[in-house]
Amino acid sequence: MQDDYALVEGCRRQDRSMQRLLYERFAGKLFVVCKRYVKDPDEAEDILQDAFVKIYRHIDSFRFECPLEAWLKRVVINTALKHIRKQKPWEHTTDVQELAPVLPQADESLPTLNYQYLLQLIQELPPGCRTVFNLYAIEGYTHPEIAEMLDIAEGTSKSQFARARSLLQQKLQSDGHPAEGRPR
Amino acid sequence: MDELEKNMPDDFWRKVFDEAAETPPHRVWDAIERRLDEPDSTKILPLWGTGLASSRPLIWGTRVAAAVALLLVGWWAIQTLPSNTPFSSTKNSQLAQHTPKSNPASSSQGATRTEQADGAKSSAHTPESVVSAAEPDAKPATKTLVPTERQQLSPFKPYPTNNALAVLTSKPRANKAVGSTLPMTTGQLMQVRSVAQMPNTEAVQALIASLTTSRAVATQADAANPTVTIAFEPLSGRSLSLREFGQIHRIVWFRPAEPELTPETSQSRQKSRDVWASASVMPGSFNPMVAVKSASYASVGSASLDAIKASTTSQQNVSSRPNFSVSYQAGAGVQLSEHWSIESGIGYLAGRSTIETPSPLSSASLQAGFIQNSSSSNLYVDALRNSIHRSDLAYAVPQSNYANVSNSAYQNSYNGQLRQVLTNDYQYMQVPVQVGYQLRPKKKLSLALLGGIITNIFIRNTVDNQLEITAKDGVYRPVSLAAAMGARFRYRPTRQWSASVAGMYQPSLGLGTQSESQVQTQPTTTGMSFGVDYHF
Repeated sequence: MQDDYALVEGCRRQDRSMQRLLYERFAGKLFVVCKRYVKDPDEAEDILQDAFVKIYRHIDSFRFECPLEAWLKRVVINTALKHIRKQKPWEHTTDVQELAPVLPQADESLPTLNYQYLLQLIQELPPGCRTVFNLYAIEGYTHPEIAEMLDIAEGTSKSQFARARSLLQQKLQSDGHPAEGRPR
Repeated sequence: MDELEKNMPDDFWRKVFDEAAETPPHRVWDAIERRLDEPDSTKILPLWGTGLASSRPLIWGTRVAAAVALLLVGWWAIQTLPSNTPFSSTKNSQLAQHTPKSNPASSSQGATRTEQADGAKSSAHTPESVVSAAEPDAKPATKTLVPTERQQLSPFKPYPTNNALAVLTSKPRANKAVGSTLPMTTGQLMQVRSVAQMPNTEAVQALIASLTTSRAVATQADAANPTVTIAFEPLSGRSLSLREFGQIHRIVWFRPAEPELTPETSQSRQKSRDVWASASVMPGSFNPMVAVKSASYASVGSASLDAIKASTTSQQNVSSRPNFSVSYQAGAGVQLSEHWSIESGIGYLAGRSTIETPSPLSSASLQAGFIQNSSSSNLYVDALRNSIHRSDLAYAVPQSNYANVSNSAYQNSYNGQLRQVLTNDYQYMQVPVQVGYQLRPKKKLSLALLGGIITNIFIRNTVDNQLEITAKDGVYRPVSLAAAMGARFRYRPTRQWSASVAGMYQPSLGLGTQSESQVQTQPTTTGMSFGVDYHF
């Protein structure tokens, strides 16, 4: 298997075979990332396509300051966010002050669930909630960072995250999974 | 620790998705490869870059400029495009006009269809028109597409087993319908079997949407082989894009069939050619600017007005003052273009002026011996009388006296200090021809600049109710020209009626008297015209 350095160098030379290798190596994981941010699989394919075109055209800007996979994931997330921003899913949202008392906590009783089921749960979230949940709970961004990335208020990010967790909890309970989350 | 201040990613969710992978369809890589083969011609302006380019005023200014440009383009498009008949009102008539005999190729271009059409109206559909129909509907409506299609296509059950093969091609975008073959029947376009073969309802939407912008060519096989092959050729330029978010699920660019532009253009030209008739009255002032020739310039023949004024002033012989005048005019006009118009008519001018003329010295009057009517003896009247060329006139004077009046020695026989004041009543027929330039066309309150020529036809001049000079006397030119210039406000409260107010200045172009006449005039009229107009 080619190492990251060889892959990047090959892509810089616009070697089609190396580009194909890079795609085959990372496209699977990155496709799931895309599907976490958008519900429509066609949209996810579009985002993945756009992201890889960006990756190949701007591969020179990658200087191995971070793992290649992290950089690729960041490009995919940025492409997805750009796609989502056009849809303005945060209009008519509520700030966290109104929802803070009902903030649910993390649920740690779901170790046996596979990613397809959880992916489906995430995809069923409203777009705004879905995006904030992905960025906060999975990618690890803070609310101020999310607010800056999405050009929204920090309170909006918090309220969207709270709503996402609430909806996920309700869905898990309705599907028969215990939702006995405890404060983290 | 407050999780809202320092985020710790949820380990459960993170672990689940860290290793999750799902192989994307092959078409994604194909599309990427095609895009990589294309030249990267897109140049991005760094409006959101660093430095000045990132300043908010510049960004907002750019946005505002773009918005204004878009508004202008939109306004232009609305102005230039003919008014489209609502689709719902035209589709039925179009449907009714379709017959099974319609040419497949031609019907594919002009026919439109709606799935909401009732069964009775859809009975006129041909299979070809259905294939080429437009479907500008939102996504929720497409869920009812299948049963509705059946209703519409039911009249074509004579071809129930006709199979169609639709081959779709598209842009590099990885669409599930791209490159696939779709078995379907012409009689039942979207059977459940066909739908089941499609990946999902979005793909069905994609197919239907692509049908709206495709030209369909259908070939009907003979009865023995009821297979129909339909080849779709997608129109270039727009790839399918089905987005699902919010209330707007899909935007379909649809343009209904447009009527011929040429007849509309000619109609609009005819409509914009406004024709009106007008009647107006113009009170004002009329100054004939009378002068009596002196010997010094009588020999010159065609003296200019300035020369007349200078001579008159220097000798203090005759002076005229403007007085009240009124003119009546009936005319008609026509709008030549949006701004230009031309108008003409006929009018009557009654102009009054006051003349101050020296009286004769008593001794000179006796010595002259040629004045038959002593009651009207003054320089002006004498000059008028001596200018008359009619031989049948009772007070016609010999030509020899003309030289006497114009002679400076003779004029010296009049007393410059003893002056008589006479009134002159001029009467003219007028034929104006003038063009107008509309500064505010098609407004309720319009403003036009007017300019043109007025033909003044001399009728008579009555001097102090004692002497009447007509056109036959040969003193005044029977026809003289005057310029006309002014501005007119027109208020048009209704489509047919309007009222106008105009300020006019009408200086004469040349002398109003014959060249051999001893009296010379160059009348000028100034006034304010009030009129009403009837627009046809």
